[in-house]
Amino acid sequence: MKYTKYTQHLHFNKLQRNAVISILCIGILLLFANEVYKRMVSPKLYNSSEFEEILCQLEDKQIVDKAIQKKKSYIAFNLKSFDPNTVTKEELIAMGVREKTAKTWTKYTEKGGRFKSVNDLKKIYGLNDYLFNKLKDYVSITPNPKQKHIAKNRDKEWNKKSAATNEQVAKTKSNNIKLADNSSEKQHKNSTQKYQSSITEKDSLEIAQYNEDFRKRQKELSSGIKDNLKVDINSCDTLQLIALKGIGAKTARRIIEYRDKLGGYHHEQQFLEVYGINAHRMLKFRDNIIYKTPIRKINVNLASKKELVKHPYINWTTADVIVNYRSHHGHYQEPKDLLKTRVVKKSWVKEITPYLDFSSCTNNNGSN
Amino acid sequence: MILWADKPFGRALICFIVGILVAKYFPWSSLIITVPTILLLGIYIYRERYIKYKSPYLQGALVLSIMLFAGYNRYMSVLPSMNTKHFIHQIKSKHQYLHGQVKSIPKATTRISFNIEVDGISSTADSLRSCNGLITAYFDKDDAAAMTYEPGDEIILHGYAKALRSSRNPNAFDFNDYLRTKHIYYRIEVDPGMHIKTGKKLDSWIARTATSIRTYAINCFNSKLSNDDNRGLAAAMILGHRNGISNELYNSYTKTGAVHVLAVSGLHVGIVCSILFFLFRIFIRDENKHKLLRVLLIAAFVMMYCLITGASAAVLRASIMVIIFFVARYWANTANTFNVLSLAAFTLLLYDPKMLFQASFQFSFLALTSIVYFFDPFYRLLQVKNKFGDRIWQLICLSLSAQILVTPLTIYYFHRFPIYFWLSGIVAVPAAYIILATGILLLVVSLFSEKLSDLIAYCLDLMFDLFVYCIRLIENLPKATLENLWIYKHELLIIYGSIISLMIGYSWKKPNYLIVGAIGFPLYMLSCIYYQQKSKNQSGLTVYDYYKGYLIDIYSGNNCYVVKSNDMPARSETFITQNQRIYKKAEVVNSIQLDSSFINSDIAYRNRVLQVGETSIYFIDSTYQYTTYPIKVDIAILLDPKYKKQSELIQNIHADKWIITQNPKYYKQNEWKSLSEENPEDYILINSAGAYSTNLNMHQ
Repeated sequence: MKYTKYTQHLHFNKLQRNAVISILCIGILLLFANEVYKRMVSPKLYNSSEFEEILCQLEDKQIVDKAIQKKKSYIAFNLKSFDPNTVTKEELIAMGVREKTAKTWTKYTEKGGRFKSVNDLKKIYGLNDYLFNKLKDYVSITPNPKQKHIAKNRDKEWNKKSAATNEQVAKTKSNNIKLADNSSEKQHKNSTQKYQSSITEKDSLEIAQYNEDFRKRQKELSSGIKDNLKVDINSCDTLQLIALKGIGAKTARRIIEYRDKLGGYHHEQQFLEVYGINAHRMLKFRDNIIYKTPIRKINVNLASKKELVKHPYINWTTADVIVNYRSHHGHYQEPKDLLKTRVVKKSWVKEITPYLDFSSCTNNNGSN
Repeated sequence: MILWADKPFGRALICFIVGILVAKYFPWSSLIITVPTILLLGIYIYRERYIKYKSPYLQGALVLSIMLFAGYNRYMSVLPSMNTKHFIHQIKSKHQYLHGQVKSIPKATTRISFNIEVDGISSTADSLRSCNGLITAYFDKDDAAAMTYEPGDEIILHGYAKALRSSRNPNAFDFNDYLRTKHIYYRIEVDPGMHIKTGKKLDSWIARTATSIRTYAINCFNSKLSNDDNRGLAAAMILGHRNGISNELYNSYTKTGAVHVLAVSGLHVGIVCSILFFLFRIFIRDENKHKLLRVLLIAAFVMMYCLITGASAAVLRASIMVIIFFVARYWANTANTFNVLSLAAFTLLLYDPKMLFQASFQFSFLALTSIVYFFDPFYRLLQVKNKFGDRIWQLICLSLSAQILVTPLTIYYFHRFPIYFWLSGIVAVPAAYIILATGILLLVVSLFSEKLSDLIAYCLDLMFDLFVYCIRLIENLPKATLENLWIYKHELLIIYGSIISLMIGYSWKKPNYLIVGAIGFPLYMLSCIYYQQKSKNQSGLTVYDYYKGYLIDIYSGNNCYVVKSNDMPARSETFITQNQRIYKKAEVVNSIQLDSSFINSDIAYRNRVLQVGETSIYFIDSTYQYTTYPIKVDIAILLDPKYKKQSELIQNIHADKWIITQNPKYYKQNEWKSLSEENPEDYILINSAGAYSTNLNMHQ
């Protein structure tokens, strides 16, 4: 009984058995026939020439599609006369210029760039020939009023110059004619050469004379004065510096600029950091320098990243670390504390110490 | 003997399905299985023919074994790995020339796409090699030529072919997996304009007629009906083209549980069949004499209707199912309905075993089985004497009975349940019947009379308006849909086990089955309570695979905290995270701004460090600066390291686990590749490993 309880699920009468198996077999046969049919009726495969022809059509179609696409985008052109120096981004887009190109265009004009001629438009990155040809007929460049003024002055000067040269040319010409009248061709050549050389010699003599006088005056000034002159480098001006040996106007300006950045010099070696000053040059004036005025100091416990970075000895990374370390560990007590940040060297600390003020840490310690 | 006596195909189908499932999860070589199958078939035939006294049990066992092996073999035979002619074996480079036949109607969403049956492939422009297989082609949205293709068109195209990969986000809807059930394993991104029609393959005059009828029908609806919604609905309900329906309208149908009427399904084919039966009853009076003729004619008309609708897989399935069902019932009125259904399912699975994994196939057969079993018991609960009231009661019973077996699967797939399905059923089923009949009438009448067709079109317009109005009314009822529902696989098995047990117990009067079925429901409740409690104490992290940035969920109890890219579209976020959040039972979703800081009872966030229980998570973004001391965290998530080097980051941050999102530049992600390959557990590269999900330690 138990046996039949479980085996009854397997019971199939003959009709049922045959129905299930025949449907399965018919199904499999149909599927097999379908597969055979598919393989027999193979798809149309193109030979190489046919395939190439189709691909040519495909490429042609792509070109045509692209052209249509282009045409579509250009159909929307709202072309009108415009000044490329004042045109807005929206106007350019309305005229069919791509947004990115319009951005490049307006950025250029906003930053002070100017289009002086139609051909300058070609320089815009992204503006293709097709678009340039479309736009060039509508470009009307109005000259800048400032430029107008400059151009006027330039024209005046030019006219003056040209008038003067014309006169000179006329003079030389008349002289030449006179000379030519009096002598032969060879003589004429010699005379013109002599004439020209006489002018240049005269001029050069004058210049040499002027230079000599200037040097004399300088020597007079410097002799006896320069050797004894003492200049406080942290408070002097450029004129005082020029008076020193080995320092010209440009170098003096550079020294002052660097001093302002540093907050003051404290050692002669620092002059070597100024562009254009080498050790040989520095030797000339180092004895005339005194360090009387105190250096301007930065409070390392209060200064922000930006304030720190202004100092030439401190870069962004160092400033970041200094500020981050300070925010996590509290104020710096002494220069040695800077070494705890592990990004700076001892030599750097030695250099920067005169410019740093650690005093405020004692005031703020209580709050921390 | 009593239980299974009248259901031979039911038993055969179960064995066939088991064979398919074994093949799916244990795909051994098909040859190992083919030999015993042929052997068993040989033994069976030999015993049937030459042995006089044979045991029906042994023969039955042989039949079931053959079915099991047949299921295995059939599944293996449709896999591309078994098909040497499949194009996937011939793809040598990513850029390919393909020749094939358009198999589906082009769909335009974010791009234009349709399926192509490939018959030639080439990686160079020399010549095409013969092959087979299906591929989905994607075209640019503005490519107007792509929309002009029709099923049957032969085309050549050039594009970038790539294999479909599974979803890399946990519990997210896997569209590629769905495509694989349709035998599509590759997709091709067609280069703009690089496609051309080379011909049209119409096998017969039948196909040509079907295409012309379809074109005529679409033109007729477009010219006669008043607005776009109605045209879209007509095309969807009568021809199965859902392209014309707006998203808003589609959502309304989804929320009310009436979405099945928008696609040509078994219901529609059934309606067409019943209309044909009605017509033939009028014209062919002598039923017994012309029985065969009538059945053949109905089958022919249904197949024609199938062709008119484009012969998509779903319509083909519905047509075959309905034809077998109707024909078998008509041929032998006494035949068991479940047996007939099993025969239809078996035929379809023999044709395409991958249908078993298609949700639409599962819904179709479960709904029909459910109606067959539960309609009568429901209907007998109430006896309505009024004829109209009786019809209404029948419709309610139909909806209720269909939902019993369909509901768990609906929740499993869609995580929502329409409460008023019974109400929408009262509207949708008769509406589908009337609209389909009127639509067909309109198509026929417009051939003869313009004025009469206008009148019918006017009526059809009214019907659509009324139908949409009713659906919108139901949609706006309070609590129209239950959202965010989750059923685990084992819970699904418990529920179906219980329902089937109750079905067997009820129909075969077996109290033991009823008891087992009844036990299943408390078990399910216990499971629900367990997971609900578990979710309250959970603490987890999910880093999603989002290719344009980063998307991170941190779960603490039923709260979900999200860290995401600033420019993340809400639609993408919903698509990626929705199912995972439902799975994790997240009730409140909070967004974390990286610059903010807060302290909640369960979670604390400050300086880009999130503390959940005992786990600390550090988010490294572009503002991160090196510190002079190492930072110790449990998990470091790389959002945007900008100029920071991998080696320096590792020196600076001591993390047990590193997760590299897809937000950093590709070369930055690549810096971590070697580490990830050496130690995949500690260095998780989302780009190669997909989404990462883990549980976090809670306070003891």
